[in-house]
Amino acid sequence: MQEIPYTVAVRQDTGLYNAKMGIWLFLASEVMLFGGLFSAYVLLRVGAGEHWPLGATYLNVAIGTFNTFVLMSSSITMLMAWASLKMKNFGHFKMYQGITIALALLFLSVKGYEYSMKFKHHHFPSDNTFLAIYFTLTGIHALHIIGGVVVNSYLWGPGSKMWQAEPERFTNRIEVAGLYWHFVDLVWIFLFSVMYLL
Amino acid sequence: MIADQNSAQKEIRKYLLIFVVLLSLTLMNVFVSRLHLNISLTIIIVLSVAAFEASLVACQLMHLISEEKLIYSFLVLTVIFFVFALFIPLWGIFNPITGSTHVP
Repeated sequence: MQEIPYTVAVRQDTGLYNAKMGIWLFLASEVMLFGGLFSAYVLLRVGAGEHWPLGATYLNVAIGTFNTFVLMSSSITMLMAWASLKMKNFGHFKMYQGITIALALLFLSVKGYEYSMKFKHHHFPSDNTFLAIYFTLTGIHALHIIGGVVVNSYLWGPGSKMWQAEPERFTNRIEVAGLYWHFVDLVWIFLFSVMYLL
Repeated sequence: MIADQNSAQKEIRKYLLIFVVLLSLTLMNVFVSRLHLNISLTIIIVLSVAAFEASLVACQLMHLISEEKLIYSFLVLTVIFFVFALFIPLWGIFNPITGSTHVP
């Protein structure tokens, strides 16, 4: 059976292994997705003029700040997981990757609590454009978090068997998953700023 | 990039420092938003700090600063399209179809 090339070795023409090239192209498309959504936010906000509410009118800034800390922490633990593999310490990788997943689940739980409180107070996306764009942006971001949790959980669980046979390839997989995870963190930094603070 | 045990320890210290900086900047942004300054000034400060935080994540945590030129080239292309997408709706507002009205 023929093996897939450039899973570890870098290509001469790109200077990258294929998965890294792929994830950066994917992230570029993600920039366009969120770019379009932020563009919609700007349009709605400029159109509303002075009628646009402050984020704090509807949203709990303390909860949002807490969730920002949670996501930033998970970004660091993801890096620590990758660094552990670089140092050939599989035990530490398991620990840090596990913490990353737990923090992501904590983020989703807090987001779920926020959503439930909104619905309890009869705040729905159909109420006004602020809530419509809030639910759209944070909802799509939450879907990205769920996707990240699925991938990270696979790499933490059954996918980690690859470490025994192909440690370098497995380390690259974690690096690529990490790049996605940092991007999700990066998007949240802007989301938190525009929805909660402005 | 991590080449050996020693460089790994240095990298980890750097990541932890960036983590502290990110947390501090987030708290600063929350503080600024609570000052009830002029809204335009608040938008400028909060978005500037957020952009700096994002650049820290991209350059240091995603290692973009030491990445191959090829990645820069298509990221620059992406940014151009992103800025274009950002301004398309505004053109619609400032250049309306004759006879139409803008309803906020």
